[in-house]
Order: sequence, then C-alpha cells, then structure tokens
Amino acid sequence: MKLRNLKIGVKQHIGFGIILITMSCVNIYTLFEMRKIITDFTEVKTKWLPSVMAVAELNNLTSDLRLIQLQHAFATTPEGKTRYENIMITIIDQIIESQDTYEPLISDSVEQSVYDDFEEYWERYVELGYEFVDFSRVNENQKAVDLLNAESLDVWTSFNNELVNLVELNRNGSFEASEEACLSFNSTRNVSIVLLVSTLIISGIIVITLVRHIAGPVNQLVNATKRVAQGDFDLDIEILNRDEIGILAESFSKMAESLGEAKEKMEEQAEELRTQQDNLIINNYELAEKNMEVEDTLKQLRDTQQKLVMSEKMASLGNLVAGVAHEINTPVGAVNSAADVSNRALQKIEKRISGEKSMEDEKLQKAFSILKENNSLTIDASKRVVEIVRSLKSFARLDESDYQNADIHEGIDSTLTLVNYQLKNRIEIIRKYGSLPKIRCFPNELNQVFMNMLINAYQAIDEKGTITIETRISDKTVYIDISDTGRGIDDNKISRIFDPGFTTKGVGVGTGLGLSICYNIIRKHNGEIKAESTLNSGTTFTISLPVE
Amino acid sequence: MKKLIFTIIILLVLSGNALSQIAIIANKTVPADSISKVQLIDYFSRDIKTWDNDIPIVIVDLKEKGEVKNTFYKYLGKTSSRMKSIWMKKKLSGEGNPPASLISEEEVLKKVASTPGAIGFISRSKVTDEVKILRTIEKSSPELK
Repeated sequence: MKLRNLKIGVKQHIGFGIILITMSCVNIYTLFEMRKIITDFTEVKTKWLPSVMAVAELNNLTSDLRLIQLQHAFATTPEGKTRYENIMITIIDQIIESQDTYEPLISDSVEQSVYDDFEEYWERYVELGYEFVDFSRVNENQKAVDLLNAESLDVWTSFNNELVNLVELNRNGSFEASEEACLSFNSTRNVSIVLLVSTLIISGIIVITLVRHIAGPVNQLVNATKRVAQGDFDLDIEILNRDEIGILAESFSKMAESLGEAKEKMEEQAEELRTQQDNLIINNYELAEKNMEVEDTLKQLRDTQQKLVMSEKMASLGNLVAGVAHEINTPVGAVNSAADVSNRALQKIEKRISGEKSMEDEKLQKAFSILKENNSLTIDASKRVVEIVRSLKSFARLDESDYQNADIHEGIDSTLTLVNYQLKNRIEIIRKYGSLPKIRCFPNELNQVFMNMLINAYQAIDEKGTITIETRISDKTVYIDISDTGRGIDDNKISRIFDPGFTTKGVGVGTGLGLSICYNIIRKHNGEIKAESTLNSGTTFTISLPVE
Repeated sequence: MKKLIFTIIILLVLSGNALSQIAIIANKTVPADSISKVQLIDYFSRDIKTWDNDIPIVIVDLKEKGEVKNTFYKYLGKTSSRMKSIWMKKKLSGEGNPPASLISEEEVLKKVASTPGAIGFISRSKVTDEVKILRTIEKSSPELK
C-alpha cells in the first residue's frame, strides 16, 4: 500500500507517530546517558569523595592519637592522664566510625589489600598502645616515649603510608569518575544535539510532506471548485492521493463532469427545442401557406367546377343549338323557298287575272289579299326564324370559341335577341351604344355575362320598367353599364353578390353561381365588374374591359 | 568387609566435617552449654564480663593468623583490629585489660581448660575432653583471610 493511498488520519498518525518515536528515542537515549552521568557523579559523591574524606579523617585521627599519646606520656597528674585517655577514647571511637564509613566503600581488590595492610599495621599499633598505656600510667614516661618513637613510630609510619596510598587511590578514582562523567556529559550533549537536529529535520520533512499531501490536493480542489463555480466543468484534477481528499477530488471531478454533461445535454435540448420551435414556426407558416393553397385550390376547384358545369351547359346548348339550327334551317329553308315560290306564283296569278272580271269579285279579291298577306307573313316569319337561328349560332359561337377580336355590340345584340321573347312588351330596352373598337376576348364567354346581366335585370323588374344598356370607351378601357329600374339590392347584401352560392332569389330560381361566374369571366379578361344599387329604384352593373 | 568400608567412609565424612569446622570452646566451669552470636560478640567485646553464675568471663584470643582466626572474626562480623580498638577503649576507660592473646591453638586449648570461666576458639578437630564446645562454626572458604 502506497503512502498516498492512506487516509489522512492514518497519514497523520504515521507522521506524528514517527515524530513521537524519534523524539522518544532521543529522550530515552538522553535519559540513559544522563543516568550514566548521574551514576558517575553518584559514584564520585557516594564512593570516591566519602572514601577520600574517610581516609583523610583516619589519617588525621591516627596522627591526633599519636599526639595525644605523647601528651599522655608527658602528663604528670592522674587527672591529666585520665583527660588524655578520654580524648584517646573519643579519637578511637571516631577512628572506628571512619572505618565503618570507609569499609563498605572499598571497591576493588587493590584497595582492599592496601586497606588490609593498613589494618594489620593499625592492629599492631593498638597492641603497642596497650603497653604504652601501661608504661605511661605508672609514669614510666621515658619507656612510654621510647615505645612511641621506636616500633610504634615505624608501625605508625607504615599505616600512614597505606592511608596516603588509599587517599591517592580514591582521589584518582574520583578524578577518573568525574572525568568519565564529563566525557559522558560531553558525548551525550553532542549526540543529543545531533539527534535533536535530526528530529527537527525529520519532523520538518514529515510536516512538510503531510502538508503537501493534505494542503496541496485541498488547494487544487479549491481551485477546481472556483472553476466549477465559474462554469468551467472541464476539470482535469490530477488525483495523486487515495485518501479522503483524493476520494473527494474524484467525486468532485465526477460531479463536475456530470454537471458538464448535464449542462451540455441541457444546451443540446435547448438547442433542439429551439430548432423544434423554429420548425414549428416554419411548419405553422407552411401550414398557413398550405391552408391558403388548399383554399386557393378549393377556389380553383370550385371555379373549375363552375367552368365545367358552364362548359358542359354550353356544350349541351351548343349541340342543341347546332342540332336545332340545322333541323330548323332545313324546314325553314323549305318554308322560305316555298313561300318565295308561292309569292312569285301569286304575283303571276295576280298579273294574269288583273283586269279580269273575276278580279272584281269581292270575295276573290279578299281571299287573294289574305293569301298575299299570309304569304308575306310566312316570308317574314321564316326570315325571323332564320334571324333567330343565326343569333343562336352567334350567341353560342360554336364556330369561334377562341380568343379573338370581337364586337361587343354584336354580342349584346345577339343576346338581346335571345332574351327578347321574355322581355315582351313589359320591359323597354334602351340602347345607348358609343363607338367601340373590337376587343380581344372570348366572345361566347362575354355573351354569357351579358345574358346573365340581362336575365338578372328583367328578373329584378316586377312589372313594367326599362333596361338601359350604355357603352363607352375611356383610357383604352371599354365600359358597359347595364341599368334596370328594379327592386334594387340591400346595402348589406351588395358586397356579397359576387360570392359563389349567394342568391337573393328563391330556391329553385337561381343557382347562386351566375354572378360569381360572371366575375371570374371578367377577371379572366383582366377587367372589373361592379354593382351599384338603390333599393326600390334600380341597380347598375358596370363592366370594364381593357381594349388590349 | 562391607562393614569395614562403610565405617571408613563414615569416619572420612566425619573427619572431613571436623576438619572444616572451628569450635567455640569453654572451660567446664562455664554454666552455658551453647552460645549465640550476639552473646559471643557481647562477651568478646567485653560488654558482658561474667557468666550467669558470676564467674568472670575470660577471653582467650588466638594470635596465630590463619584460617581459624579469620573464620572466627568473620563470623563475629568484626575484624581482629577492630576488636583490638574496642579492647583499647575498655583498657583506657578502666574496664579491664585486653584478653590474653596466645600464639597457637594448643596453647588456647590448654589455657581454656585450665582457667575457670574461660572461652576461646580453635579448630574443631583439636578439641579435647578438657573443654566443652558451646558452638561450632563452618569454616569459610580457604582463600578468605
């Protein structure tokens, strides 16, 4: 497991653990070394110094003892001797005390052997002391002093030497121990300083590493957070550690990524929505267009239907007229020629019998005149039939349905001829024809319009009335006014009279298609058709057609 | 034959024991049959000067240096020189002279046997019927002084 994959807590524990262990080691080492120093100093204090003091004390006390012995020898009174004896007792007690102090402090065999030598001499000195006291007490002063100056002095000198040796030994030991303590102290101090510095460095490294391991990623994360806050979701966080911060960074990175994706998706969706909205608008527009197209188509369909109906009507009418005309022309031709022959025969008969007596016969003359009259009537009638047939053929224009130059007046007249039988004596036709050039048009279609206008006009007139047809030209436009003196049209209806299916006539009287067809035909000729009406006084339709 | 070997072994063991011991011996007039270490110290340092029957305690010291003397003073916990110092104090304070210090164990034996109230120490092996043994002490290691 790598260090960077550990949790922060574990890292801290390890880091501070290492610091703690290092410091503990330094402390333990220092304490251990200190103990050695203390041991050294304690040795100096409890062994060497007391030893030196005890031995020095022994030296002093033995010297004192010898001095007191001498004074004892020279004392003259028993009281004086007793006083010195008491002093000697005190000194011996002190010597025993010093020995008791010193003996347990003896540390090695060399010292022990020196001390043993001292004790041997000292024992001997005490034995000699017994004799000295015996001499001194009985005032044999000279013997006593001699004793002190002879063997006793030798012994004294010997154990004194041993004591000096002991002092020397202990002093050296003391010095050595002190020196050792000093050395220990110095080395301990040096090592402690080195260890302390090492500990500081290690601690510093650990702390810096920890901070880098913790603060570094945290700073990175903070920067990343700022960037996310500013809307930059494209993070590239380098995840070095697998600790809590690493996991946090990873989660944050994923979150930012998700946010970015969500944002992108949202933008995409918004874009899509916008596109869809645009499409919808376009579709709506298209739909409206289509709708209009459909309406147009419907209108065209209706127009076409009307045209079809009309052309069918016209075709039927044409066929009928052609058939009728042909059928009528033959008998009418026969009638006409028969009447002509009859007339000429009658004239020959008249010539032959004029002046004759029979002509004076009143009855014959009357019959003759009736015959002549009837013959003339027959001829007129047949002429009239021929005229009607010609008008029919002209109206139907069966032979000339193409776009051509045509005379408007001719069209109006032939139409009037066809409707004349309906006008009878009830309605007066007033023609106010101006001078019109021929115009390019479909004459049969225009005739249809005139027919419609005239039929509407006479249907609007209940009893007697007049229909005035006026033509004029102005600015290369031909105007045809057809006015009647009929009922007129309501103002609220006049605007709708050209609509398909609109009719003011009763059911069965009109189809409602008449005026709308007229309108379409005039529009086709790039012309206009308008209506003006005053209720109960009449209506005027004005048709305007361009000359070219 | 077997009996003879056994006897020799017993004797050897016994003699071995006897050789490695010292004995605190006393004159037959001494009332005590045994002696404790504390009593021994008190008697030798002359803090107590008479037996229970008021016979004065007479200390007999061995002058000859060696195993016997070493063992005894080691047992007492005081060196010979220390004891001499104590006796010196007693002498100076007028409590009596230091004990007689005899050269050999034989002399010690003779002196103890002949002096009423006397007490001394010699090798266990050198004890005779003339004295009584108050205590035996195991000899310390030979290397000790």
